[in-house]
Amino acid sequence: MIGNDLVDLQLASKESNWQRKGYLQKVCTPEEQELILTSANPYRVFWTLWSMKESVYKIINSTTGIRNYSPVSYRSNTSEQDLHPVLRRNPYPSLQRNLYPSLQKNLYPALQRGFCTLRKPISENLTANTLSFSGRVIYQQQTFLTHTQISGQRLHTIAVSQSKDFDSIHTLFLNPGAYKNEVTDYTDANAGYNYPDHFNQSSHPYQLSKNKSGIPEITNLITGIKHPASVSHHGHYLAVIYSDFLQLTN
Amino acid sequence: MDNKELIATLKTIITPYAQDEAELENLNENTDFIKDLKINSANLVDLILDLEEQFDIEIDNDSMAKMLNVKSSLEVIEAKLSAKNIN
Repeated sequence: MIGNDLVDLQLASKESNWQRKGYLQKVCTPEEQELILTSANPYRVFWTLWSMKESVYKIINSTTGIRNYSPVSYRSNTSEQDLHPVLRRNPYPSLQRNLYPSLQKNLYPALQRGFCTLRKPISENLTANTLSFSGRVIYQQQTFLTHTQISGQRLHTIAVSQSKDFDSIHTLFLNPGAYKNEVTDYTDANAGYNYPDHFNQSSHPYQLSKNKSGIPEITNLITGIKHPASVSHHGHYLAVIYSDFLQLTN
Repeated sequence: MDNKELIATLKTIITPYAQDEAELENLNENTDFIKDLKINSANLVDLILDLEEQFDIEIDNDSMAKMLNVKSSLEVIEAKLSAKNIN
């Protein structure tokens, strides 16, 4: 099964203060807290772990129908070595603030050494390079695999049950903001945005709909086969992922 | 604090995070934080922390997992409050 989660980092920095007292303890295991707090970029590591948990929660929710809100029970099995070098441990924690700008500048050399993939921007708005890395999330003795990509302000994670599932996943990024003249209040501006229509116009023969429980699914109009899908929307970004191999059983 | 007062206090705390004003106006026991009020999941953590501060209680992870609507949140708050009064 598949799940995804998207974070608009710019909006997240306005909406949420994860540095608030008690916040991390509610969301992260002690190991994850350490990974975040000793990282050279706690902000990015926090949202990466967050989206890993959320994307796995979507798998659990879509397969079991269970709704529970317990981010700390989704344990990421991410060690420092799994993180991209620019996100790893800051060797000089007391210099965190001062050091950060220079680490930003050093992003390119790190990329050139082949630590991560460098891709072309996906849309015109995105001029920044892309960081991507993989992780694992354990929930009630089940292990899930995740793949996270940070591209400019867009952080996107895909979670799967088995690594081969990644191969059949297609991702479509839609831009809800482009359909409105002025996007100041993201929620209101997007209220009327019909993403299934937008998706269906560009994805024939795959048609996106929601089942009775509100879980997204894809129907191949030629074969009639239903495939799993996952939708995530935050701020400027909306992502639809689906597998053209995995099948939904009724 | 009776149920009405609890709901009123809860509503005040929810207000900054709720993204659907009409649903917020009609807040009742069946209101769902995510489906109805469209509270984003990162702000649900803020909501839990605000409730802890407001009522001077500690909401453990198992309780937090259930708090996706007004009814279950009230149940958790009431249980925590009465446990506090006994101690």
